[in-house]
Amino acid sequence: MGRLTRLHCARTAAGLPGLALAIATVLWLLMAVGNRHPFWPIERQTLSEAVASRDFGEVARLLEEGHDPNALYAIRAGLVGESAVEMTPLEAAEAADLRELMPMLAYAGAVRPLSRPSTANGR
Amino acid sequence: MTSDPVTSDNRYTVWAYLLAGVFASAIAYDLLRMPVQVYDSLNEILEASRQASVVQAFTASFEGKAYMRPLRIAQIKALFDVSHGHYWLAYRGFHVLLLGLCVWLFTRALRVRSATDLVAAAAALTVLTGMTTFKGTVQEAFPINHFLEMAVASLVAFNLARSRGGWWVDAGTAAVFMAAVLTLESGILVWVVVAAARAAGFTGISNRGVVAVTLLLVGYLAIRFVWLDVGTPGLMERSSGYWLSVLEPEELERRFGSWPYGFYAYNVASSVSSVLFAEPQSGVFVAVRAWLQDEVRPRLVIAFLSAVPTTALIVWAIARLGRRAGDARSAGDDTSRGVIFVAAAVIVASAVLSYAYTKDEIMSTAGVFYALAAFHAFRTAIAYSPAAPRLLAGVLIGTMAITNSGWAIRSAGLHHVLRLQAYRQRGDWALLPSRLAAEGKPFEVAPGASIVRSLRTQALVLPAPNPEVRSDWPENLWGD
Repeated sequence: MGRLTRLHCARTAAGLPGLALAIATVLWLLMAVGNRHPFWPIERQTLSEAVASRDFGEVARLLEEGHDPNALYAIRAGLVGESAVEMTPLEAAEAADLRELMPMLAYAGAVRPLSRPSTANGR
Repeated sequence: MTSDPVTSDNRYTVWAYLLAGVFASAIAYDLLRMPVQVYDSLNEILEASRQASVVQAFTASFEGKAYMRPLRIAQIKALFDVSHGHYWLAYRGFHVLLLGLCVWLFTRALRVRSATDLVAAAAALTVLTGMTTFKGTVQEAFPINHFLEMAVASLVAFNLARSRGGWWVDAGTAAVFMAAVLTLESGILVWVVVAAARAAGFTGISNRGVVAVTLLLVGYLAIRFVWLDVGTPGLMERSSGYWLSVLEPEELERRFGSWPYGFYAYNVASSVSSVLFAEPQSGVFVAVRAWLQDEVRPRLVIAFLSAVPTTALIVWAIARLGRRAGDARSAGDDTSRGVIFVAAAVIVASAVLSYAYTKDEIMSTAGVFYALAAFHAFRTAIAYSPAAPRLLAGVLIGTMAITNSGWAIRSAGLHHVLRLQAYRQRGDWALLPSRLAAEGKPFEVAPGASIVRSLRTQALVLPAPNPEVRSDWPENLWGD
């Protein structure tokens, strides 16, 4: 390995990872302009999906937006079962065993309907 | 060694600042996606709102006996007043400003003048942002991150120490020291930087300036310990990591109450080790614990493979630079020796300040100076590699390739940690009303309800990715 080559190797070894990260960073900052930042992917969720996936912040935002806490919402496959289902937020909380979310839903006015089963287990 | 002004090739300097700007912008983007946090923040904002003015906030804090941090609440009050209800923008904007200052001052302290400097700077920026201790400067804010402020103050002092000097440099150093020490006890690190830089031969701050800052330190200690009788933290202050677990205050008192000095020594040693070897973290040997439980994740291996060889490289650089001491052709080596000396002083002093309990955040400034030392180790290794024996050159190049790849991965991981934090903080705001109602303290009727409502609304509109619906690999690679 010649002296010049060694210097280049040393510079490359020291600087390349940082430079590569800087280039990647510029790319994902550019992607952020189109809301496609790889670290900040945002997916739309229904109220019941947000409940089932424990996204308390999104649950609160949707409730603040006026979404009905007693309505039925679609839940994609994989969140509370292997197939897609429809549930109220309260049922989704029960299915996901999220007791900490119950007071928040109750605070927003969620009530268990008399005509529906008290638990979503088995759906 | 005299002052060390920036000279020569501006091209590399400009590129270094551009690189630093990219790293800072990416973290700033994350910060602007994060809400103001509930815990350790909301009460402080409400307390500031109750103060009539910034001056009253400053003077009222002297009435408390637990700490002497009058500028802390005064700053929170000042930002509260200028926000005019845009609390998130004021506090997060200030966080971004501090971050920008930190990265700019760090890059300025590198004095990039050549291609070798530039590549070493690229590596040093990944060390800076990849360190566990740096996480503490951005992950949380109370609602201002005072640990980041201490890092900025210390970097200001270090840059002044390397300036051409003048009365304004001495006056500025004294002002920075006062601001830092009245904000947080870690402000004492500014004095450490000033004294160590002078001892290392940096003459930007004159002897008169060093004496002035030392007298201010003595005055601060006298006011704190004699006049106000503000003590030092005891064992019952908070929980602390110890070997493989975190001990609660009651357990600390039971085990070390009669003779705490062994525990204090552990805290100092583990704090130094956390910077040099990435272990333990906040006093807990998480990698050892994971190994014992057969749960070693990639992030622990990467942390080890980046930190340990980098520290070894710094030790090698110290030895190499020491051998060349006195050589008239090695003026740049004097600077490297001086910077590494200051970094060592800051690391040791930060660890001593952590004697009562270990916390990675307290070591934030030490982490910044470690990255400065790493820069000088990298540039020494690069410069020496062409003349080194073939085997040693291979080892140096291989070590830098492995460690710097590790640092780049860790630096990228900071973004994962911050988005996770944003998700948690948003969730805390979501649950706050029902939690307070359950405690019999509904916030709607409490003083400051409009502030809480406004902060909560500002938090909820910031969408955060949900980790529950994503794959586990980011957590394994980068998780906190």
